[in-house]
Amino acid sequence: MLDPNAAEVPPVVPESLAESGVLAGMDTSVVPHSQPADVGVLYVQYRDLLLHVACRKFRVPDSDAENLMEEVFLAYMQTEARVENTKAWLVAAMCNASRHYWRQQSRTESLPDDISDHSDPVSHGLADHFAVTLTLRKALRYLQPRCRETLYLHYYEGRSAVDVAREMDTTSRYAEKLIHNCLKRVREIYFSITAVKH
Amino acid sequence: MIIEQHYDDEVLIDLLEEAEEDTHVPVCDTCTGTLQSYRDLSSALHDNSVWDERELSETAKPETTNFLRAFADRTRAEDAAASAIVPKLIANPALIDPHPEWRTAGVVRGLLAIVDDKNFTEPKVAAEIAALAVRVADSLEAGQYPFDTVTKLRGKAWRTHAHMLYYVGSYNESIKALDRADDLLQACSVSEYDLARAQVVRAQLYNELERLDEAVTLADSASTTFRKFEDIDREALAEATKAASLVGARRYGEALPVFMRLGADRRIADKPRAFYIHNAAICSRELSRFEESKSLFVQAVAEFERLGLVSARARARWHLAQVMLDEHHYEQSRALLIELRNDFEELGMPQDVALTCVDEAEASLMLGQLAEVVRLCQRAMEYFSKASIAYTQGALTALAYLKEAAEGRTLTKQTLGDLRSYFELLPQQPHLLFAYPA
Repeated sequence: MLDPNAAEVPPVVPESLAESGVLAGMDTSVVPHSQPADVGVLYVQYRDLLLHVACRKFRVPDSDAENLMEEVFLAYMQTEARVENTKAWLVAAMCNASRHYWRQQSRTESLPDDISDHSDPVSHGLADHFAVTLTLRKALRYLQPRCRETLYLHYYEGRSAVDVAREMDTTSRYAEKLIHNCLKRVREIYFSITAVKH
Repeated sequence: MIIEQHYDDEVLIDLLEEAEEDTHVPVCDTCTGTLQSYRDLSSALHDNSVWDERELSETAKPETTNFLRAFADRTRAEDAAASAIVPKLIANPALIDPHPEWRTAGVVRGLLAIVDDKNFTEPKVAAEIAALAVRVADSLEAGQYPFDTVTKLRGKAWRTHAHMLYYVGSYNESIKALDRADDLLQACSVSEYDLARAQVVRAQLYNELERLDEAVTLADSASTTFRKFEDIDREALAEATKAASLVGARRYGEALPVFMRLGADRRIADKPRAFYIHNAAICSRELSRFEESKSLFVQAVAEFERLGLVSARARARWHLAQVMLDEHHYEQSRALLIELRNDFEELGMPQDVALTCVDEAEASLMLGQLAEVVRLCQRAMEYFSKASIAYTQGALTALAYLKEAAEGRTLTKQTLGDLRSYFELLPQQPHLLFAYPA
């Protein structure tokens, strides 16, 4: 490493605990402002999203998801690294905890059939993606059943407008119109929910 | 139909399934935004979690809130108590034996925080403190803390220890410490992030050991994890580690743009960014772009100075001295190398002392001043005689040979190259014998 002919790659600064947000009582000057001091507030703020990730994305049973969430928050409190994006960090950690959960379960029982769907997309914006799906789920509850079914068939099952028309016993032209209108409607509801949130 | 020069929703929804590029959308922010929101929603509608019928309780559980707050309070109290204990323990590590009550997670965190403070300025001291942190962590009673708190803390202590061992050149010990860290972290339920940090240390170490393919794989994996956690600094570090593998493979032309990009990225923290500038300078030098290289080294030296990174500053100046050697500016180079050798002695970095000696000898050889080489060797031999390190004997033998070659006026650049290779290998193979060239 010390040979000047070789490039050096340093450790990112915090290799230990000086910058822990929630726990850094010893030196508040290094507490990142993005991390509130009260972990209870964080828990309330992100609980719905983390449960959504664990239960609906990874199919972890509700009864176990709350425990996993506790572990995620403990891990968050113990990380000495400066957390740049709390939501992203927690969501990624929840994905990690959920996968670990299923790995543990596989030692004692068979895994769900669709376990292969439970991997998280590898990209920036994972937390935002899950936040969108959580809100969208709420928005879908306000839609008429026929509209929900249309969107389900077309977007989730990947059926064409002709297929949707056949399934819903209507013309393909009307099915196309239905797909458009339902998507438009769910977007309106989605934005009304997020507007209320803000 | 177009309303006020924007597409209406019908047209935009149609565009979702159009393969061809539209001409209006790319130049219209409003339509781009609306189309993107339709894209996001239609893409999210493919996700199984959206259609999951299960209803989940939306009420936060008071017992969870209380549990987390109690843990935070306890940790704060433990850290506060540790702040009085840690200085005493650093002053006299043996005190841990008569004070079993000092074996707390707070003390481990406190020690690791000190390692973090000292890793660049006093690496040898930092390595000793990291070893002490491991000792305390390993003696914690896991049952006193919830879930896998203690296992994870042990894993982090071992990782930090491994990092410091790597930093001071103890590569074999570092690998063993990393293996231990991995074992501990893999047993924890939420450890992907910490494992990725260990992967980066291992990738850096493998770069040094020329296990470049393995290093690239590790760095890629770590980069993916940090991207998920949206940790820009560490993602950059993983990318830089991969670029360092390219350097190891002498693919400087590919590594340079990566380091230049990272060095210019203001989102990245100052300290690592200074190192990326430094690495870009190394690549420039290797591509014989000496002016660009010197300019980047000067920039890096200034940044290290500003940030108080003593050993890093010394190494950047060492590189600068090497560029001067490349440019045949021997007097300037030697003056800088003499200062550096003193710095490395004070910093307790014996391998660097040995290697700067070789460079200094080269400058003196090129100036035809072999008596300077003899004096230099005498001084370095005194240093190694006093230093208690695993490869003292090998270093002394090699320096004695250098001295004899200078006295006998048989010293050549080839001899110096052989010595350099030998000193580079010594930390990994402390019992390697110095073979006198035939």
